[in-house]
Amino acid sequence: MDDAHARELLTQMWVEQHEVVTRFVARRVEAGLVDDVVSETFLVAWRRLADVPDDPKPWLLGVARNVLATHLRTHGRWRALGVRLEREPEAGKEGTDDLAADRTDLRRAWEMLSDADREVIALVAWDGLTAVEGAKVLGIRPSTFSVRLTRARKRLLAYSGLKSDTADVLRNLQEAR
Amino acid sequence: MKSPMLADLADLDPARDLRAPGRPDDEALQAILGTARRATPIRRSARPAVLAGAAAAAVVAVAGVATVWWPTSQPAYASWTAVPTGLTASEVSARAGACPAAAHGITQGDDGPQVDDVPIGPVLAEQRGDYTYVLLTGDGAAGECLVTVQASGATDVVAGDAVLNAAPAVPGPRDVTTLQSGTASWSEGDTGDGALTSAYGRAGADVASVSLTLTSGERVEATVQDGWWAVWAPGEASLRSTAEVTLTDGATAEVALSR
Repeated sequence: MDDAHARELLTQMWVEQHEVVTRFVARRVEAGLVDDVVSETFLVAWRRLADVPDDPKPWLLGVARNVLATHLRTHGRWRALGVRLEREPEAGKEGTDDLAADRTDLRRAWEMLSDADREVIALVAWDGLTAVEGAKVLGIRPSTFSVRLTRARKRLLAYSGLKSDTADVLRNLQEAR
Repeated sequence: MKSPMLADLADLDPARDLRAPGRPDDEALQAILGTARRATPIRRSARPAVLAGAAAAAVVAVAGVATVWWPTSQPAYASWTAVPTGLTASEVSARAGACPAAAHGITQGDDGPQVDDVPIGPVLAEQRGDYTYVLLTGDGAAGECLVTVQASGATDVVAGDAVLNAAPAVPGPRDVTTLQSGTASWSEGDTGDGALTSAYGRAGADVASVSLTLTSGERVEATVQDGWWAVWAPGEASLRSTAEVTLTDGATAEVALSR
């Protein structure tokens, strides 16, 4: 591949995928690190252009995930790659209607999920991936991804249907573990 | 695929309102396009050179990816000297502290490209004019780091690293081996002096000194320290491909940097 063609390819990838990758990273790491991780992801793509498949999105997100993991480890903050939730709204801001109540339940349920559960759900609900794409990001078989997603969804559903005091007890138990 | 619950979850997406379209003239993209693309971008020479001693030297393959952040072309290294000066232990630790502590290898894992950190630490340091060169090695990895202390007191660091296929073999007592040799193209940074040519490798216990010759004819002394040797000079491909090794018993041998 000559340089001009390579530059064209990477530029096209940047234009088409930058937002997707940035959002993916922003969901998983503090704002200050997002640009660095995104740049590093595209730098890997630049160095390995020949390896990038025709559909670059899952590949790029897989690289971003590895870069994130490396980054967090390098900075001594190694932990499971948690997916963040939108910041808790200030009290009263969401009102007391049913929708807000549902959302509070969902938020509480989300907090109770394991990082692994959150990751598969986030790949679908937020990153907008199919099971096949999500499986590529995680490097697992699509069938495995589907099973994990189903289980995670069941848990989310179960947790969100709990009465809040029950949920609190459960969460305390989990934290004490 | 999407259940109503997952749709509800979308409202909790922290990046829901984040817009980050990529544009062809984005600085971050241009910075990436300015770096070398090849799998071993630190070197112009595609293959590792081997500097063989009197006896045959082990060939150490260099592979994987070198990560490099070099400054843009600027006037060359005015204060560079052909003979290095040593550094005190405290100077070494101060300068080496500015260097990266890990080499980055990119390997093809089951789940796509994997970025691996390999810890590296200083094994050799030398000073030529304003420039401190530090060689760092680790388990199957090596890195080079050039530290410049500016007039303002700020430290400018450029570094490249490579993950090697195998740990560098220890050469025989009268041998030297070369792990890398070639031109580093520096494409990023603020105070860069442009390309430089460097070479480094392992030196046997009886190796007293290694000297090379610039393409201009000037002799350059490499630094030999604790079983390692290294040398660098300003400019692209500025080192000739032969070296003279002097042993502790006074014997000398002309050896070739072969590809």
